[in-house]
Amino acid sequence: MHQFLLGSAVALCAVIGLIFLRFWRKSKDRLFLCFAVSFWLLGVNWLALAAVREDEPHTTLYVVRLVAFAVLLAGIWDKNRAGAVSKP
Amino acid sequence: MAEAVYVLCALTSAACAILLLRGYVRSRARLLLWSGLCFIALTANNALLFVDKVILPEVDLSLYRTSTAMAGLLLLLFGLIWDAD
Amino acid sequence: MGDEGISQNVRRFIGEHIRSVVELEVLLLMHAGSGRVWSAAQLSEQMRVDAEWTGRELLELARRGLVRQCEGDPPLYVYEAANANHGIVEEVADTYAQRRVSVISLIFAKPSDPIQSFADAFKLRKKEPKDG
Repeated sequence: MHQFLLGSAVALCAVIGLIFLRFWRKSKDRLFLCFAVSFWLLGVNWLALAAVREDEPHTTLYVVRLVAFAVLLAGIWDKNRAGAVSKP
Repeated sequence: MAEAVYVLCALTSAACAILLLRGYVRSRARLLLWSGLCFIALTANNALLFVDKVILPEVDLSLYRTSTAMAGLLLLLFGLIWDAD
Repeated sequence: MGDEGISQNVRRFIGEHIRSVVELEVLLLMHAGSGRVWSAAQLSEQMRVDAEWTGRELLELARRGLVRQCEGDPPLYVYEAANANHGIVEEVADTYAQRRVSVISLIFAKPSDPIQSFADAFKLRKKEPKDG
């Protein structure tokens, strides 16, 4: 069951990322590119979780998750930079 | 180190949830409601990760963690397809 | 709501391009003085609006093709009658002159673009100028 959920999560992240990518193309807003990359990275994170054995050092694995959320933060920061126009 | 990562991820998710739900209150755009709920679920996912690894290491919460993530992703996908015009 | 007299074209234009009353007035001011070249400072003084906001606004209007950016430092902007949206901008100008309240209420109505609302949700500062 758990493997099934992990697999579904990976697939959902792939599709969600793709939709955000489409939003980026339409709106030219870099924020959506960041969301796309972030969700794809989350997908990679769960893919890796599905692939490794129980006793892998999970710390290394969660760096991917950290990067995914760091990309999100970077996107939000980028959006709020002084002097940035509404649609960069 | 790992604990810091989990906390940071939870805080980031929570911040996104707050921003999106605040945006939903302002604009009434339903996409923001679903996205906000997704990030609440991701916050729960990260919080459970912290609990699983740090507070209750002897208990395996992986099924609950992944379930919360799935719930969030499903809500977000629904919103992106149904309410993004 | 009182906006029955407004054409679909005008509605769509406002939904897509106009986020605030001040934004509309900037565009219509430039449209009225067709051919006149403006700098952000001049425009902000004329309209008594924050200069930094005006600068960003002009950049945005130029990016969308509603006005054209000219050579100059500081950058200059001009509304050209030859632009692709001229016909509809004319119609918007007429409609605004005749049915100002209806147009304003259209602007304040729910934005039609949820994607834009999503992106806007992540703006931490309020962007709107303090218009008097």
